[in-house]
Amino acid sequence: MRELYEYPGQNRDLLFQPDYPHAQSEEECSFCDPANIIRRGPRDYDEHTQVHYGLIASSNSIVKDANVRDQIGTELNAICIDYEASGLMSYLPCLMIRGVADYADSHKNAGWHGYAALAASAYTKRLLSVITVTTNEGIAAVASLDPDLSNAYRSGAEVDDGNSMSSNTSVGSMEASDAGIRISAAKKVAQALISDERLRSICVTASLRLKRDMLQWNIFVALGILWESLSERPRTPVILGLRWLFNRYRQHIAASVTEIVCDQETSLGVGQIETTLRSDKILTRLLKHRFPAANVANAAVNRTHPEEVPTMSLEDIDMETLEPHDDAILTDLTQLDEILCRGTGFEDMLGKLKELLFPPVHVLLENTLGTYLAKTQGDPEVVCLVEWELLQLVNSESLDVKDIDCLFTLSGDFENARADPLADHEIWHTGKQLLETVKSCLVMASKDMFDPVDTELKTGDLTNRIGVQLFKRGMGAEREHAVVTIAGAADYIRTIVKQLAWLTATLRVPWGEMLTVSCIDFQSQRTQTGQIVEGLFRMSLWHQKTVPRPNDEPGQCWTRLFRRSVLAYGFPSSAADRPEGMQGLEVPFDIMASFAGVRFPVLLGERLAFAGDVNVLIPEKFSENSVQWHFDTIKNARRHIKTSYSKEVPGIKDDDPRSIDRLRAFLGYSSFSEVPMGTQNFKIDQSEMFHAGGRWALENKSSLSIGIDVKKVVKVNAGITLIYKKGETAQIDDANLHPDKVWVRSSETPALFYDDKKCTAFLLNELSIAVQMVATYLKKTRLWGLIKYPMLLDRLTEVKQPWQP
Amino acid sequence: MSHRRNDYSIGIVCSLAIEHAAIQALLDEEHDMLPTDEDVLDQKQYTLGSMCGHNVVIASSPMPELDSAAITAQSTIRCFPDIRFCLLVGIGSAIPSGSDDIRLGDVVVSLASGASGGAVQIDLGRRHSSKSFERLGSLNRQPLALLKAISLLQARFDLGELDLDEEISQILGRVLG
Repeated sequence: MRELYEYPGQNRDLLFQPDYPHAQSEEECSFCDPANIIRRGPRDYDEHTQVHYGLIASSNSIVKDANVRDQIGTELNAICIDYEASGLMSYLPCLMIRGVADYADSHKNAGWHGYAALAASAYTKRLLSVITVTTNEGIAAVASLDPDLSNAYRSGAEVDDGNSMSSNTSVGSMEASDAGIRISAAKKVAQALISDERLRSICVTASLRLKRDMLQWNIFVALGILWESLSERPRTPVILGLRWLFNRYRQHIAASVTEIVCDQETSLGVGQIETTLRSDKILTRLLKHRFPAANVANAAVNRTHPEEVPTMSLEDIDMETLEPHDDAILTDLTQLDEILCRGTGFEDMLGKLKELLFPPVHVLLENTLGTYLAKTQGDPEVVCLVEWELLQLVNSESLDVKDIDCLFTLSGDFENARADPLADHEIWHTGKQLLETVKSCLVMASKDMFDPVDTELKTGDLTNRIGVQLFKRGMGAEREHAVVTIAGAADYIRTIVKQLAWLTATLRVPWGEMLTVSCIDFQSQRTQTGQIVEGLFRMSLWHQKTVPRPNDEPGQCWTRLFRRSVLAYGFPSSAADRPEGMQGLEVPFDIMASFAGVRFPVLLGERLAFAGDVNVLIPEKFSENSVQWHFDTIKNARRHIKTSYSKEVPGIKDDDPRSIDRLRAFLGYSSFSEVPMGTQNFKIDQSEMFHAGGRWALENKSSLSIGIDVKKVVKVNAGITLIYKKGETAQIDDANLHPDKVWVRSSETPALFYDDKKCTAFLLNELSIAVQMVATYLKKTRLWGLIKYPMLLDRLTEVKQPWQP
Repeated sequence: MSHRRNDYSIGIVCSLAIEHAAIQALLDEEHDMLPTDEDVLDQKQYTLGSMCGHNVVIASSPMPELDSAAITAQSTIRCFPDIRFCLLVGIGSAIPSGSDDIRLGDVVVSLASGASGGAVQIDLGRRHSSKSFERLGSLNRQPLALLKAISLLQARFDLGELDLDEEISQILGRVLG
């Protein structure tokens, strides 16, 4: 053992000329020509071990070439090469201590490994001897308090005040630690429960406190872990008390959570159908999983009568259900009960829970991410997944998901965008990197990140670079992977990131379309003061066919963008690429429509605009090939309609049917017949029909239905059968559906047919247009019955009367 | 005295067994392993103990050829959530230059200079045709406590109060002998 670590002696420290290669296959240099040894004097005072401080280059492959070594040395100014820290990016606070075992040339051998390792270890020990010993004083302080629960709670309450919304969410830890990046709250809760008996008295409040800092999934995780822990722990009084409390309020909690889900559902717009249903399912599943004894369905029914939710009384508890009868325990229970129910206690807690579960996005970002990032020292590497389906891409990319602690998607339209955990995947409850990255992205985007109007790029900075790289990723011939990299000065990156973060938060790219954003990551360089000086932003895009070269001609990019749905081309590198007078975010129209949540055309003043429940897109400027849309709320737009929007838009008249064609041409099509609906496959289900905040129930049977089939055939049937594709029909039972009503209804809820997975917002608009056109036509002609293509289309073109509200 | 996961505040990450053994030999006291919890612990090799009053975790991967120290460090931090920082201790290759007389057996400590955190990552597989190295990233700024300790140690070495050789020969005689 000892020989392994002995000092080999200076006579075995041989540094050869860089161009002199190792002589033999012999490991040691016994055959190397001593004439090529670089002569170095002996060390003074027999000090063979010295300590050097400087840059260490971490390589992912072994360097056995003196020339490469020297190049690394001169270019990076490094003094040492290491092979282990590869992949260790900025998220870990760490220090590298390396014993020199070779010179990274062809002569390298294992002769010095032992001594070098020992020297590094010795230095490590020395280093530790001068570092102040810290313990988890916060935890100790809490734990050493009187075991009396109210005291413990009090200390928990201090932690829980509004000012202490820190990034350090460790349970009971009140000191800001060096590590800083400790957000794995659920694990903390679990660990506290598992490992520290003393902490158990405050774990409930602690976990509630954590939720303030965390996103919604933590609540479920924490509750679930809490529940699991409670069912496993030995029967200490505290545990039993907690369990009793939990059981007593379990249904209440489940009910309130279900209520939250339902509230959320009704507050979502039509465009949110899929997300809503999905999150509903997820939450339900979670509830079922986390609260096995709670009947979620009953809870949902009971939610309107929360007072009727049965609660367990003390008398009901018996030992079989692991509920205590012991007097001493009951004392503690009373205290616990008081703790949770003090004052408005429990209801307050539920209210908070609700707030925390579904906060508005900006609140979410500000509260959770802003505070966090302000205290974060690191530059976390961000991988931000957009939309649920992208998880599959991640899997097919064979990323090491084990290293991921949690996944986030940001989804929703402008109004309803919110962060969601990818709960239906096994990795959803692990990993902190992603969270941090999303945070850093979003925080950079600051408060006005959701204001798409003010996203003017700073142009003219020559140092800014945007590149689109395409490279195969071995995914099979049909798939390619595009990476958008943006490098540049901080201001520029910040502008970009602001846009992209917003984009990410709202983007809905249909699955199976040409292109999908799979991940966004951002790396930044910071100064010592934490100022971001430069950064690298990468966005990966997947598509199934080759992406055409971007057309760099001025004014072309926008339409290109739209046609191909290629997000990557949306950011011009200079003002020259942009039509004169145009400004703002350049995105495909369908994505923009998705952002804005617009779904149907309206006449606003004299302009044809697109509106949703809340927002409206108003064409502002027209150029040869693009339209600049103004984004506003309907409320505002109506207010200003008499003034600014009453002016006629040059080049387009809304009362002219041809102007609609013109507009459509702006949207990328030269004529209606080019609308590429052939690949779309609509499925209509009554349950997916939503009407501003609620379901729209069609009641009677008979009369009318309107639709577009996928082969450019517009079909109007008497009766309610909508034919969208051969063999695929969707039945909507209805009657008394007068054309007048159809028109009104379709203008109100044109997103009736919106299928998130298969239909873009753009197609939705087209559909709405068509529906309204048909409705107008029918209204005019009072025509009932079956109308077949091309007759209808012919007649549609004859419609003189525009479709006006 | 039994220890809890939260007691460990410093992680020492190695990759080679020889490195692990060397640093393990320097522990003042070795602790029992914590009961395995599959949810929390992973497949890394951990040695727990105390050194100079700190409770430290020595971690290495049983398959160093598969896991880089970075991965080991990550999982260490995940398993021992109260770790303040990680020390990556092991061997490396020197880059000799005229300005710095660096010999085999010397110790190199990554020290921040300018914006970089004391270590940069390079990818030799991605060398550009211009033959310049692509910097893939750099290490984070080091924790203040570490920087302070390093400068303190540096001063003591300069003053001759500390002699690493003596330390090493003591270890050789005492522990490994």
